[in-house]
Amino acid sequence: MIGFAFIHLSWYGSPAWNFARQVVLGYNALVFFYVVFVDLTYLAFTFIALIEVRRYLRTRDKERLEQIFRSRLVPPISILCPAHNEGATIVESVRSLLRLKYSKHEVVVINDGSKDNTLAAMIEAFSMERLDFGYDMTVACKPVKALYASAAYPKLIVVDKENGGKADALNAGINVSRYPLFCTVDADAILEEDALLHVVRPMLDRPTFVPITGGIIRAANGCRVVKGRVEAVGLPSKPIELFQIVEYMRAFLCGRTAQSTLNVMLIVSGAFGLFHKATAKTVGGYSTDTVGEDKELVVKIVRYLKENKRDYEVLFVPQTVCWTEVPSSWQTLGRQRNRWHRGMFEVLYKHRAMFFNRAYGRAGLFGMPYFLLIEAIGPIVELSGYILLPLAAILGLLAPINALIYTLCAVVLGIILSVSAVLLEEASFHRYPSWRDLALLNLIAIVENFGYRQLTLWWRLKGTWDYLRGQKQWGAQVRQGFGTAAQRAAAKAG
Amino acid sequence: MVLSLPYLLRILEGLEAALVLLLIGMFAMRTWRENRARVVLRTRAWLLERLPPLFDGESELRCEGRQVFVGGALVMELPPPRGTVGDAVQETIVDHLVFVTGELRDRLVRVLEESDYVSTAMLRLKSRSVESRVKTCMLLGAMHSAIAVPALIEVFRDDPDPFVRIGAAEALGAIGSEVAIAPMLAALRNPTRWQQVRVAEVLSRMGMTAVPALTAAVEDPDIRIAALALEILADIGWMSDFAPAERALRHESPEVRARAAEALGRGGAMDRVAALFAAAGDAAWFVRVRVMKALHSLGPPPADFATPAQSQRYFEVLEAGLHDDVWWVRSHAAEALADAGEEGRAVLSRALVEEPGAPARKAAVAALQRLVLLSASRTAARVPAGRA
Repeated sequence: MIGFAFIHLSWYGSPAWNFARQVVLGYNALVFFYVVFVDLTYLAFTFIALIEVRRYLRTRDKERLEQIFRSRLVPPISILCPAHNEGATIVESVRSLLRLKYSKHEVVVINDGSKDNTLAAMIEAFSMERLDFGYDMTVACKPVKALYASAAYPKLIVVDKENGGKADALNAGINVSRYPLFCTVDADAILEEDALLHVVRPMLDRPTFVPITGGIIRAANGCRVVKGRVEAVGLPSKPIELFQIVEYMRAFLCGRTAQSTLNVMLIVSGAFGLFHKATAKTVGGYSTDTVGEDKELVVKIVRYLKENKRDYEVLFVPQTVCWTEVPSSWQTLGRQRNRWHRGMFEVLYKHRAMFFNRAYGRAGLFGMPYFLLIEAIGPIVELSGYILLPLAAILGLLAPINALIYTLCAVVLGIILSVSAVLLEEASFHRYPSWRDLALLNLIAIVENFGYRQLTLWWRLKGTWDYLRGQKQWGAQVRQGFGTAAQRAAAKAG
Repeated sequence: MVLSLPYLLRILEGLEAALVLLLIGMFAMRTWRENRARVVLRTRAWLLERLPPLFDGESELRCEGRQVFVGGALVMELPPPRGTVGDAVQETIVDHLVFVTGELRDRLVRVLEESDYVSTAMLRLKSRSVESRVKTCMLLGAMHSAIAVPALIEVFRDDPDPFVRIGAAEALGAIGSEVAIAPMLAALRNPTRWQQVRVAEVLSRMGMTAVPALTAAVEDPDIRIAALALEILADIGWMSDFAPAERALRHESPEVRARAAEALGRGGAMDRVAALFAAAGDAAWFVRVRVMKALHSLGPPPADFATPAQSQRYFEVLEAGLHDDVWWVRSHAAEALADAGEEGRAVLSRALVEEPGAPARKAAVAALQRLVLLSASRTAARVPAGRA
């Protein structure tokens, strides 16, 4: 009816009308090509990832990992675990970190001015004692109030400091840590026992300098977690958590693996990454003026290495698994996506000199443009398509059937991408062994394209808007604790 | 026009077909995987039933092709070394090789060699695929077969791919062949650090077999070789002759000096402690750190081994380390003193009366606190449950 009203307007058929018609149609075609370009890029990533993961799996062997584990020549690692109001999960997370298989590692927990019982829980669970020992203050950070150690857990150090945010806490951790490599792990994350052995392997294997490696992040929601260890992998019951599982498969297994193969990877998840400490210190550690501090450090290191004409590789190790609790409420998830997107814009703006700059090699020619053209402005283009396509149909510029089929093409392409990610998981790591789980994952891969995808676009768009308004807030995170709903209920009751 | 109906319909049909194919492929893959797992399990069970007679060291083992006889009786006929069943047999035997040693291992290796499993795997060393060659090297290493050594040495020397060469080195190390030591020492000259380290790892795993060759390599004019040889010797923790390491303490390269100090400490070179005392004043801070660590490892010279003057010197050197400009040196000196008995703790106590905030005092406090915590935890461990 609105269309009918429009075509009876007096300017129907006028040059202005024709111009508007051309603009809307042209924009729709542009959106179409953009969506095809983006989806083909992702499909290419999936294909590259499939080859790379299969290649990786063919050459892995347990005996070599055991050798790395026993070796005294491999560099020791400091695990930095920043914690702010993480009382619900911190003890279990630290237990899992202490149990990691590695020849020499220490765990540095940084209590970043928590208002809950994070520090008290640590002191009680690990019999921590306040200690007075010096450390190197190379990277600027907020004052450290006290350091704690435990005779029963000699690998563990707790840093109690004033609240300064995650980046500041990590900088304090870099200062206190003793080893040449540091690994950042979120307090709500659980690493698999052999995670360090896997993630350090490229640093030993590759002939080029590898300053950073990262592992895959998987959702622990729905898994059975016992004493800081994922005992059984399962799927959660909440759709919001299921959507994120498929989304993480797509982002990590397909995206990061392919980016790593092409050596254009500029993101290592803040939840789990391994860094060469001297290089991180040289660039000044984490920046505290951004909410995307993890991305920013990677880009900063890459930029520094290219400016100093050093060859490097930033690598992703798909075998290395870090389990984390993904948001289980729409509000928290929205805040998280908003923050990620703001962080991305901050990094892109801060390092804008790298765009299409040959001096920065692949990072400048492909890595940064990829983030801008596909990740950053994607929501704007895609959402405008969702508005303009029906508008074109309503205005009679495009036959409704064409608009419908056009939309269906985009949706089916999205489904293919998600199903491909599940296929890649099935062909490689095969973490979800039951037929029910496989069927459910495929169902979710289809369903997520109707509503969830659009919702994440909206959050990202809002993130863009908030970035333009100069918002720097992190937003509160709500932790439920690990384990299945039944496990949590039992823990509460008992 | 891109958005024309026939064009869009054709795209949609193509996409739908692709999606259906993907889903069918996925479920077919799952079915295939489960079937394969069943075959592997069946083959394993079949083989595990037949393996025990092979471990009877008293009975004679004889192989005729793939037929295995123990004490004259046919125990089994192995399947051809290819396909799912062949792979399952190979994997099962290789799994056993991890746990068995000596004659039992030799018997299993003989079964693999005489039933063509080793020779079939060796053919894959010529494969065009790098992954296949790396995997074959690993497999041959896990098979521990000496007949693969010449082929692996050839791969180690000549393969164009560095990953394959390292795989061959690791296989040679796993087999523990002495013939492989010379080419591996030569490979320490490789300009890339990662290759050096990996070869060093292999040599270090070979343990005592490699010690004489490594001790000789400490004198190598090439600094990289000397430093790595020292590092490996330190890793093995045993040296047949400490003199080369002692000389290396005066080497022009601080890296070599640091590694020499570490090797002497880990090797337990108590009779070379005087050389370590001299190196405690080294200009490079990381050499001083390693000297403190070495002195920590060695502990105070025992009365029957050193003169009172030398014992006295041990504490003087550590006390000087406690007042070093570098935190790491102070920290290691304090740790060494904390573990050096009453006399060491007396030195730390002296540092406690220094003004608050003095670096030596801080290091002493930290070391003593750690000591108190450690003894408290040991006491707690000794107290029976319920009485703590």
